[in-house]
Order: sequence, then structure tokens, then C-alpha cells
Amino acid sequence: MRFRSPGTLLTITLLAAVFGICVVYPLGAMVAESLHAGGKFSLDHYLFLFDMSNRVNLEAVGNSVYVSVVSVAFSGVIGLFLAFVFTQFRFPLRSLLARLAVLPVALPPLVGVIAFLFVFGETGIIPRGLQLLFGTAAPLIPAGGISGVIMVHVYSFHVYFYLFVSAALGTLDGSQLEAATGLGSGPWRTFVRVVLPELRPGLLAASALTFMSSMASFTAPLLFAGGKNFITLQIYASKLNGDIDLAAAQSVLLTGVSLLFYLFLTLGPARRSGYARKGTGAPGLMSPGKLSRRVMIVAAFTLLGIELLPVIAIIVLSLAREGSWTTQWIPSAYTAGNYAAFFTDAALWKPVVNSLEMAVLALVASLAFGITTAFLVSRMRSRLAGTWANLALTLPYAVPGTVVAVAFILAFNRPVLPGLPTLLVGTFWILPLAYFVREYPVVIRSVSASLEGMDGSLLEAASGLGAGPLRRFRTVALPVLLPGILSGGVLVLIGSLGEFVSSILLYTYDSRPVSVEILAQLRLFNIGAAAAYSVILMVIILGLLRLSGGLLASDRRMSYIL
Amino acid sequence: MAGLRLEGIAKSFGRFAAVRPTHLEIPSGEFFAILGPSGCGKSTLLRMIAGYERPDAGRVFLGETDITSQRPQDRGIGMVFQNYALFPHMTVFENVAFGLRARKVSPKISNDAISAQVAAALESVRLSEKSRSPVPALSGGEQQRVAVARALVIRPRLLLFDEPLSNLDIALRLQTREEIRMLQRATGITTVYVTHDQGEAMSLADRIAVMRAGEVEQAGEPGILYNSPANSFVAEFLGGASLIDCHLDGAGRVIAWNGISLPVPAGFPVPPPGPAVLAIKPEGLSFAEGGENGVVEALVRSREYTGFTTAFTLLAGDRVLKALVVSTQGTAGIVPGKNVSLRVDWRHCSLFAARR
Repeated sequence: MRFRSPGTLLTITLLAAVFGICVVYPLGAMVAESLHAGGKFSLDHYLFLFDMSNRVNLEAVGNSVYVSVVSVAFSGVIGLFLAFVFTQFRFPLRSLLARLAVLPVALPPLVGVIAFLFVFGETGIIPRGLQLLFGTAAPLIPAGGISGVIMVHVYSFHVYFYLFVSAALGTLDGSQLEAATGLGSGPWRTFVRVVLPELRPGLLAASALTFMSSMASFTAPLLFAGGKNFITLQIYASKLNGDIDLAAAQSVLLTGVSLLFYLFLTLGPARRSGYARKGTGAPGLMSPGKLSRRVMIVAAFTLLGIELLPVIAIIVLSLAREGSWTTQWIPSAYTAGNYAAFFTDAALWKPVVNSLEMAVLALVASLAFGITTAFLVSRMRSRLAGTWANLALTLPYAVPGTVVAVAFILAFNRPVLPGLPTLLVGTFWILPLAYFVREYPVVIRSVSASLEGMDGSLLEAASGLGAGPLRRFRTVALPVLLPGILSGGVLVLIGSLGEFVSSILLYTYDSRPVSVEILAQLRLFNIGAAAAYSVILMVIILGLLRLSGGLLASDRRMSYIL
Repeated sequence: MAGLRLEGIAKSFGRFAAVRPTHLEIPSGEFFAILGPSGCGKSTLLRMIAGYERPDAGRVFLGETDITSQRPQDRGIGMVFQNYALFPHMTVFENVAFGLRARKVSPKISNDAISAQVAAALESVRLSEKSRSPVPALSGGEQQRVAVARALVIRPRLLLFDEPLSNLDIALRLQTREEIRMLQRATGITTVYVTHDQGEAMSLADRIAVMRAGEVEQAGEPGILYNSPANSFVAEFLGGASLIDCHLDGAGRVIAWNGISLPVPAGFPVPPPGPAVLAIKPEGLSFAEGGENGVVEALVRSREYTGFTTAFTLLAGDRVLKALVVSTQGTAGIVPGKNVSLRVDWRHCSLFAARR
């Protein structure tokens, strides 16, 4: 251990305290609670989970796993296909459409799901439209139940595959494909033997990410499942029934699965070999015949159309007069009233302001904690220790939102230490804290990535030229790290602004965030108002994304999501 | 084995003419180099031969077959890329075997035959013991040799090299250069070799084509190009000649610039009178006593001692001259700032009409 100044030691102590109180303590409390019944140690809750006579929980786990596996498969096929078309072919509007293709992951989970519901759900625009068209008694091919949840997942998560595969195809060495072709290999053989192995790490990473997100998915099952059981819904139900111990046991189970995949993700496939590549990309070489090319482009356009429909629908519905959308396929009367109301009734802004306030709090905390932590970890002597420290610190990323909420309820419904007055549950502060815990890993990851990318000789050169530590940081380190800090920060804001999964379990009425308000309006059948809130949220988020320079477009930013 | 014939092939990217209509005939078994500065179109020419670029005009013949519209995978041409383009996820063996497995021949080559051929190819580049290594574990020179083995193993009718040595350090470059030459001699495969290094081209090739701005300026044996350049560009690029803009008098007997005049020896080939370019190779200049006839007065700007020879940069009027002199031949007192007389050896000179 090298010498550390008192300031550094103080910082480390402070950071450790924050990590201990916000992450270790709640998760620990949750595990402890799940192992207690009637005031003493017991495995009862776990035995109950695997009780053969009451299969509800097993069924829920089974459904979650099944849905996750199928989501991975379909997301993979669609994402791979879109990435292939967008990187290999040249056609009008290509770059604009390529950017639109990632829109679904930018939508807050709740907004994405209700938009999907409006279009494809049981009383959605498409099924109603088909009913009208064919004169049937009931809406045609509505999405719902297990298949509905899968559709929503594929809608959101195929983008992971799209991004990973596009990035890999973009850095593919064109001369490798030429070499294969020159050696007598046809397009199919070249794809299977040369291109696919290059895509393998990306495909594995996207699969793990999709599986993790599908297991943790709460909003889609909540709104779409139609009575089917999922593990996240079970946790929610247990909490609502007041059976918080059981919720804890269920949470531990779900977290275990998530963590497994997170470890695989960070330690496994994404690490690449150090083989030098020119990375010119190789458009055109894989090109199939003219006809199949056209068919593929048309198919891609269709998929994108389907992808954009929910967004368009939510904008249209935000202009619907309340009560004008009952059995019609689209609303019969339109008004700007849903928006005008915001100018006459200041109270309507309350949820938006709440969300903004809480997101900014989470942002400030995440930046302060994330940047300092990343710096300290990067200064660790041992590379291995650094890797593990990073992994431990970013662990909350793998904890599903539902679980974070359960852990917080268990941990912060009483003073952290005896004698302290803190009672976070039921106060304003619990949500920003939850957002912080869920989002700060993104900052650590983005700053660490920038730090890794920074050539150490830059700072050496600067000091050789006579720059002191402060000047080095300000003129050399900061400009290099700023893009990472900026995009990490924007991702924190976006994640917090639309957060729903933890919020729904932790919110208080006075500090309810937009997402909770949207659900409330929806439950009151105020579809126009719910849609208007969604549009406002979408506009804020797209604005933020523009600010950070594009929609998760680069390979680099991919590593931050991971 | 087959010869290669290019009949007027040309390629433009947008409005940029990368290769203007080009004719070349390369007989079977020849080692042919295409030499030129970057951006001259030499790589594009090579990629059209390989089939990675489709020519806008003209035809490519391999032997008697017109291969212009053939797909790359059907041409049977071996190519070594500048960055080697090895498949990073495969071992050395798998990389070399790739082309044999991809071949559509019937009956299919047996695995034993593939192993034997790969082993032989790796033997020929002295990499037998690295057969099972993953590609990223190899050094740059080894990767380069794998790339050569991979191209050779398919018994190509034509072998193409795209600046294959530019990523190697100088010692390795000289060694590999020799190995490539020996392999080509041993196999007798017609070879086209693209490079911007004139030393590489001269030492390797039977014949060289010098390219500039999409056009072949001159093609021929290295000695002929060196001694009788067709124009000032070839003289400068291949021979390192200094180019002096000057004026040739009506009789074609004297050239002049900046008030300096120099008589042209009788019988020396001259262009029409008027603006001209004198190309002097560095070895064509030596130091003379003052007052001698037919010398050029010049000012020494810098000297670069390299052992056996010393290189000088000089100013004659406002024209820059480069001279390369054996160090022992009275170079001791010749330092920057000194005025000297230069003797011109016309055997190392050429006179061209000025380029428009």
C-alpha cells in the first residue's frame, strides 16, 4: 500500500460509508429478513418458494425464465437482421433510420409499455382497426398474456442486439472479408466462418443483457400479463399483502439469477483479443442478390414502421378528447386541451417537477460518488483488485428495481443506527436515494472507460512540460474524461426521470414521480392525460439525448449501458 | 501458371479518377512491381485484378480467360494484404487451411490432404512449429508469413501483394523481402507487387511500372527505368534525382537558369528548345576545382555523413541540388555556408521538356 494523504483517506472512508449504508446495508437487511421467520433463523420462506403443493412461485419463476429465453431468441433474430441491413446496404434515409432504430431503449419503461398497449393491446388501435376492417365481433389478434409480454420485451430489447452487432460490424476489418472471398469462400461461408465469430462476443453480451432485463421486467407483466404470474409481480404482490419477508426471499432468488448473468457479462465475452484491426467496416461485400436485397430492405422498413407506431400513437392519443376513445379504432375527437391544462392548472406540473428534482439529486450524488470512486479505483496498484473493486461497486446495476425497493423498505423503515432519527420510508428522500443506487454504476462505468482510454503518457507529458497536478487535471484529464462524464450523467438523468419499477413501491403521494402519475391517470381511464405526460417525458429525454450527442450511437457508449 | 493482361482498365470514385485507362501485359512467371506514391492508384489497380473493385472500363485477362466479371472467390488469385487480414479467431493452421476448405472442388479434398498441404505451406515460410498458435500470439513478421502461406497454399494462378512489408521494421523488411523473392522463384507464380518503396521494387521485380495520378508513367526493367527514365517524375521517384527547371537554347547546346549556364555535351539527347527540366541523380555530382570548364557554382546548405558516403544539399541559384559523394573524396572541408564548384557527370543526367 503506497502512502495516502489524510485527504485521500477521509475520502475513502466517506465513500465506503455511502456504499455501506446505501448498498450493502439494505441488501444485507433483505437477505437477513428472508432468513428469519417468527423472530429466529429459518429457511421457511425459501421452502415455501419451492413448495410443490403451492406452485404459484415456481410457476412465476418458470414463466419469467420462459419469457426471458424466448425474448432473447426473437430479439436476437430481429436485432441481428436490422443491424445487418443497416450496415451492409446503402439506401435513402439510411442514417436517419439507423438512429430511429434505437428509439425503443430510450423510452422510459412505462411509456414504452403503455404505448405498446395502446397500439397492440386488447383494445389497441391495430386489433380494433382489424376488427373494423373485417367486421368481426371482437378485436383481432390482440397482444396479451405471455406472448404480449414477450412482444414488449422484443420491442425494447432487440435494440441491444442491434447496437452490439452494428458496432461489431462497423469495426470489422474489411480486408478479412476480402481475404476470405479471394480464397474462394462464398458469401454464406464467409458469414458463418469469418463474420459470425467476430460477432460472437457481442451476441453473447446482448443475450445476457436481454435475459437479465427480461427477468427483472416488471412493467410489461404488470400491464400485459393478464393474470399470468411472474417473479417480479409476485414480489410486488407479497409486498402489497404485507408479507415483506416472503418478498425478501423472492427478491433474493431473483437477484441471484441477475447477478449470475451480470458476472458473466462483465467478466466474460465482451473482453476482446488484442489483435490489431484496421476497423474500416466492410459495406457491400456481403451483399446478396438484388432481389433478396430489396426484400430485406422492405422488411427492415416494415419493422421500423412497427417500432415507430407506438411512439406515433402516444402522440396522437395525447391529443384525444377524454372519453372519445372507447370502441372506436382511433379517438373520434381531438383537442389540445390535454396540454392546455398544463398552462391553467399548475398542479399538473407537480409530478414532472418532482421527477426533475429527484433526478437532479440522484445526478449530483451519482456524479460525486461515481467520479471519485472511478478515480480511486483507477489508482489501485493491482489490476485484478481494480477489476473486482469495480465489479463490486457497480453491483447495484444488476439488482432489479423491484428488489432495490424491497431492500429499501426493509432497511429504511427504521433508524439505520439506534438513536438516529432517520426514517426514510415514507419521505421524499427515499426515491432520490433509490435512483442514486440504481444509476450511479453508469457513472463509474463511463468514467472508468474514459480513464482506461486515456493514454497515461498524456499526463506524464503534461507534467514534463511543467504542469502541476491541478493544471494537469483541468487542462488534460478533464477534457479527455468529459465526454464520459457527460454521457454517464445524461444516462443517470434519463434513467431517473422515467423510473417506475422502484418508484411504484416506494413513492409517497406528495413526491410521486411522472411515471406513477401516468399509471394513475391510466387507471382513471384519462388516456389523453396519461399520453400527454408520456409525451412530455419523451420530449425531455430526447432533448437530453441530443445534448449528449446522439442516441447511444457509438460503440463506446455501449460499454456504459453494459 | 498464367500471364496477366490488362486492357484499358479504369476506375473512378465519384469525380476522382483513381486509375485512368491502363494497359499492362505481364508474362507468365514474371515478378512485376507497381511503384508509386500514395494515392497514385496502385492499390486500386491491384484490387481490380483481385476482383474487389469492378473496373468502370476495360478488361482483365488471366491466361486466355477474361476474368473481368468473375467474382473474387472464383478467380483463384492469392493475395497478401497490407495488414495481413488474418482471421483472429482461428489458429495459424486454420487460417492457412481456410482457402483449401472453401474451394468448391469435387471430390472434396480429404482432411489428410489439407493437413499435408498446410504443413508444406507452413514449412515453406518456416512456421511449422507455430501451426497450433492463435494468430494474435504471433509477432508481426510471423503474421506476415502466415499471410503468405495462406495465399500460396491454394496454388494461385496469380499472387498479389499489397504493400506487404510496410508494417515491419527495417531489418525484418530486408529479410522478408529476400524470402518473398526466393519463394516466388521457387514456385514460379506470376506475381504483382504493389509498393511505394523504390528500393523494394528494384530489388524484387523483374519489371516495374511507375504510376502517378492514376497513370503508368513508365514500365520496364529496373535498370532501364533507372538509367533511362522516360520523364522527370520517374527520374525523381526512382533515381532520387534533383529536378532543375531551366531553359534550353535554340541550338540545344546550353541550358541556363538564374544566370547560371551549363553546356550540354554533344550527342546528349535533348528535348525541343524552350523551358526544360534537368534531372541529376545524386551520384552525378562531384566537387571540382574552381575555374574548371562546365562546372556549376553552388552554396552548401547541409551535409549528412553516413559513413561510406556523405549526402549534401546545395543551392545553385535558387534551385536545390542533392549530391551523394564517397566520403573519402575530399569532402572534409565542405561545410554548410561554403561556396563550391560542382562537376556534372552527364551519364547520370536526363533532360526533359518542361511539364505543362
